[in-house]
Amino acid sequence: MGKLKVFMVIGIATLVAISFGICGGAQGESVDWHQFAGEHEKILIAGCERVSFRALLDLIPEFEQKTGIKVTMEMIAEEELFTKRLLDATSGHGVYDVVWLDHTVQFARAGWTEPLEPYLNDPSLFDLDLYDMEDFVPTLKNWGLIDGKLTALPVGDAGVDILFYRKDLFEEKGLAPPGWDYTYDRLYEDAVALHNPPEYAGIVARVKRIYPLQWSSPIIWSYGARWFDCLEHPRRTVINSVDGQMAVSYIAKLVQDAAFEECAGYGPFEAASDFEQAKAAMFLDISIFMPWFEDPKKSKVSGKVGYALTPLGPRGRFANIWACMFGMTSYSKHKRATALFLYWATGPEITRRIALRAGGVARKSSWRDPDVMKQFPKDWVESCLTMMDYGGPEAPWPKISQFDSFLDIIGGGYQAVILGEKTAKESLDEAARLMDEVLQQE
Amino acid sequence: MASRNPTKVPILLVLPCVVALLAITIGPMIYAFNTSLHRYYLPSPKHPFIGFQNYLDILLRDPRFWNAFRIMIYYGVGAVAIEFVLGFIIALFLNEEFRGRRILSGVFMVPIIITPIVVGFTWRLMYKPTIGILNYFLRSVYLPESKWIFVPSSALLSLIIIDVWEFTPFMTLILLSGLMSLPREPLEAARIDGANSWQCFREIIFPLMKPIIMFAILFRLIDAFKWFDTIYVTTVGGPGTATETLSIYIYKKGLTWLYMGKAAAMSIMFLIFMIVLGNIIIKWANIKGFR
Repeated sequence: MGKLKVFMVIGIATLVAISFGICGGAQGESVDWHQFAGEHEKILIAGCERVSFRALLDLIPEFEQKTGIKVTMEMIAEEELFTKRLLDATSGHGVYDVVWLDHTVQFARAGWTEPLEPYLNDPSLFDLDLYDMEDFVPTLKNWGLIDGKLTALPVGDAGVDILFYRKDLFEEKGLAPPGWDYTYDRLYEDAVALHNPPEYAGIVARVKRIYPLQWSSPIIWSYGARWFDCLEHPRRTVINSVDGQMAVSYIAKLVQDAAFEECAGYGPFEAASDFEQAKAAMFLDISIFMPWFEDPKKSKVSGKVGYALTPLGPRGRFANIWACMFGMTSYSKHKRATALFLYWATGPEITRRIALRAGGVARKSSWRDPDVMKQFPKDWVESCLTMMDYGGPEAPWPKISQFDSFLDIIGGGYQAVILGEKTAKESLDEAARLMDEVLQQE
Repeated sequence: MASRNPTKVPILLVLPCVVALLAITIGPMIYAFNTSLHRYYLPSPKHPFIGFQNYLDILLRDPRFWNAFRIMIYYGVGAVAIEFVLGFIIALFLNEEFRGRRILSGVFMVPIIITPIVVGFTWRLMYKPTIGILNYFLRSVYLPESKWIFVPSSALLSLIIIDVWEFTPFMTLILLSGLMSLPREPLEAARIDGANSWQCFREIIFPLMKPIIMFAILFRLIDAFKWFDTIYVTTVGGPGTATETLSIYIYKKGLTWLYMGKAAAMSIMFLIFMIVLGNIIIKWANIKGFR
């Protein structure tokens, strides 16, 4: 009887342990999902109105049920979010625990985001084996690493520069579709050959002041040019080198000869909507626009778009890679609960589920997931996966606080050349001078 | 005893309102002036005192400031001039009795009750050269299309068109209320004496309307110079800096690039300019008999 009792106790205890394991998480996971149960913890997130964030928003009730932590994610339009998170950080009475970050350096160097290492090293919050930091696209993981400290994690809306092209127009003109050895010279020739105003342009691009930098960075790098003398704490702007002048002259010539004049005022959504409405034959930009173009209800080019690698330049092939990041605010009053949320939201399983709805994410495993791959055009997935290995030397952006000044000054420099107001040398020399003055204040 | 301090009670009653007004206007102004005397980059923890260096840097070493100032003048003067002429014509028309006048007056006022941000977004869509409705109409009547806000050569004029559409009703409202308050007798006497419409307008209506005109123009000019909403939504000061007015440049300097000291200095200089301009216009109006 005594032995029977012992066996029964052991058996019941085993059953209870197994059931806790099922409810709590993956088998052997060190994270304690229930550590905040009954503590009425709350987290407020400044999120951005994006498809991937909508997907995350729908999954949040699962996290709340699992942990007992109440999560509120505000969905804010991008422009408004920039101002709102800035005011929150500088007010002295900030309310956000997590902020969406496009550029991590400013917030980190101002001390507004919390270094995450102490939480990563706490097994009750992060199971690093299951979390798998190496699964992140390296450029994006490093984007959160500022001055040796990890201050943000990639969460969604990851994109890489690719070439969108109209398969039907290429076929009509008898042009070979862009392939592995497609160069920028051929891109120019094809864009000019396809240019058919007023019906459609050979290429569409966003040329409004701060925007050329994103899509033109692969061109700049592939000509051997760089923005600065080094990636972290640069001292000198070097975009006005001979290579830089050649690259910007190429960009200007491409837009002047093969794009509509009104590109001068185009932001990302005007440029994408022109392509979506069949007003352009090519679009060199970030991969996240694919869902727009493949929406049969709104897009006039659904089913007609090909996706290719960015072309080869004189010094190779490059792409810019970008993702939305989540940072924990340094003034958060719920840091441990927030860390647990970050572990969940940026972990492999949730990232995969976001990818199923939104496409681009920051984890390689999600891209290679068969269910994700079969959702989207095959050449889009292949192009994106390939280009993620071609991250440029300064991707996604230089690590300087005065990021907005950089976009305005250097972007303005490009724009002046594209609009024909100045030569590449004049414009880039002036941009370099102005940017160096800004760097001296860094 | 009751007559010892006759003014004390009214002063005490008005005092809370005056204090509140001072707190929300003078207080921030003093804070802004203080900020303008420091090197104030928002993410930096240190904000050293630098005196009037920000002012000197802007006035002597910032050509973009002068470009923004120039664009602001072109925008303000251009928009208000057109609004005044159109507004007066519409006010004269609405001042006559005709069937449906009240309904038409209501319809004319619609633009000023729409939120400026909505106006900006709507016009931006209409202005789109490839798929916008304006070029569609121009194409359908075989008129040449325009690039509107998307090229530097036509961007500023396109913004002025939006401003005219949005604020001509406001000008009309002020001028119409002025017209309605004019005495009828001089006009009736003039008509009896054989004066035609143009003579009535030139010799009677316009002189009597001068104070209202001065108020309307001054009010609109100040508003147009500091206008931000629709410009920010439509062009953000672009393409290049073709539509970058001073208010847009100050916003970028302070809230985008985070140079609060310089933005505050520009704001103070802008304030001084507006005060000086207002005084000049009022003095000129006095000389020309507008008061």
